[in-house]
Amino acid sequence: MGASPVRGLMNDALRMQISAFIDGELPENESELLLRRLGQDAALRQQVSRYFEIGRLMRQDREVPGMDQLRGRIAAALGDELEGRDDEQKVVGSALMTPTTGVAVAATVAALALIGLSQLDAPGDPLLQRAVAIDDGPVAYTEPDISRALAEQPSEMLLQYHVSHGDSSPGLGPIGIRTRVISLESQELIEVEPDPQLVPPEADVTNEEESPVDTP
Amino acid sequence: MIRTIQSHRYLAILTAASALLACSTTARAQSSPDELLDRMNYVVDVVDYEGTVFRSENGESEALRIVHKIIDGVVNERLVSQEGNGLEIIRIGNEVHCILPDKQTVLIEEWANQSTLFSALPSSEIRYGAEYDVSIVREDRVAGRQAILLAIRPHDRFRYGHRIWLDEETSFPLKTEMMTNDGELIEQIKFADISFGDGVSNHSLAPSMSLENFSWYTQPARYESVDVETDWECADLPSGFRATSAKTERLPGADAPVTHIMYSDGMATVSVFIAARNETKFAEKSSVGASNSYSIQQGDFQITVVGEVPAATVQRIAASMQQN
Repeated sequence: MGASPVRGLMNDALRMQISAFIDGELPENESELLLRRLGQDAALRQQVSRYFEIGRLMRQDREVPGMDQLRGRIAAALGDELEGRDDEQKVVGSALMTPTTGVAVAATVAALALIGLSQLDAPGDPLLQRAVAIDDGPVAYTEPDISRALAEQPSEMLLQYHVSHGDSSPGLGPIGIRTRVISLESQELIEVEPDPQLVPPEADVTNEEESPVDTP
Repeated sequence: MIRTIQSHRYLAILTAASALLACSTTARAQSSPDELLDRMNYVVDVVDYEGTVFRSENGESEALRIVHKIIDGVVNERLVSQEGNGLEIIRIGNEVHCILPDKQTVLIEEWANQSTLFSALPSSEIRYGAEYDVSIVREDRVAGRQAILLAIRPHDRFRYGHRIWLDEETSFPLKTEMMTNDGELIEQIKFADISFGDGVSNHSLAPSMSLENFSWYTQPARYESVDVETDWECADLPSGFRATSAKTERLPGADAPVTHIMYSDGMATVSVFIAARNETKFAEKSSVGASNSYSIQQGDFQITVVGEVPAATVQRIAASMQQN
């Protein structure tokens, strides 16, 4: 996601404050101070107006509780400025949405890990589109081209780096799990004896009350 | 070997958790954000729970069933994908069984003591460097329970923001979101329903199918890792990040060991891998889930940076690595 056009015109603290305000997360007293400041500074009002529109577009109109009230307050504070930008908003919107989708979609091995092993035999599966490799090329949406995507896939080494990073990080989560699973499949594995403790409950008739995963 | 929660720590945690559970809602509502984060980190380790979770990422959503139960001080978890291939993951301490029903295969792995559900959860330590603001936003409702929304906002564009909905009664994270500075959602984990405590049965930790005809595999030691002192450093590290470890690792498929340096700001972690340059060509930038990576060639070395941080951060770190 590119930087907001207003970046550089406002300091980070003010940006945070405005961002919190738009998200409905700025405390009441700070909101009032911000609105007062907006009332006195036309240039800032214009910047905030654009920031508000950009933020909404980037969130794809995701609503948060209290948003309507806040929007009303912003509209009141900004007067006609927000209303008058409807036409421009459409232009800004399309221009902004382009970088969001401006990626070449690639079927990377690592991303296959994200969708589970069942999709491994189906390279044409639309789920492959989840795999994303950011391209420096033209900022236009690129339909998935599997042959091109496969040619661009990150190396096994990069996947190993992701796995190693996951190993060293404090948390793993489902993404890490799937990456690990795919990583396992790509390696030489050693066949081992089944673990007799791992049985479904219905088969564990001899000791129903015991934990099926008792530990040594 | 099964790793248990160290007994003295386990007892301390249990005591703390019991005390926490006994706290009144009013007292919890008056807690500071730091106290809430500390409670969350205790509770997520020690409380038994069972529920349905939706994980969303890149506009896609997946339903998971999770069971988490402590048995004799050992974390037992079972995570089942409710969609696709029905992957089941059964964790007993640090021993993990990945059951792949469609492949009739069970893969056994040793993990560090990592949750199958949550990525890194923030603790009050994230305040170091003051790179984030932590604030209580409002009360809300998640999974049919009253929750307190905590917002963790980064001060710059080199890290992601987080929102966490903590159960008002237990301080358990019922919903977590990671997002860019512009509010773009990167990852969301949300419980649709959850139950806590004694109701979580041992049977719900067992596999849902017979594994009688399954093939069982494990892997050879994944890699060798040795702590080292390195002469590599980042000359333009974003504020708040510090080096937390340096190792040499021999990774599967690698001809030679790589140097692996970890940086952390207490919340986000970034790995720098320094390898001898070869003919292998990575995509310069790539993104896997919430992880971004950036690879650059510098002299005889290939430097690759991976982390759950914005693309600008991995790029900046990669471009400013230097050998003294």
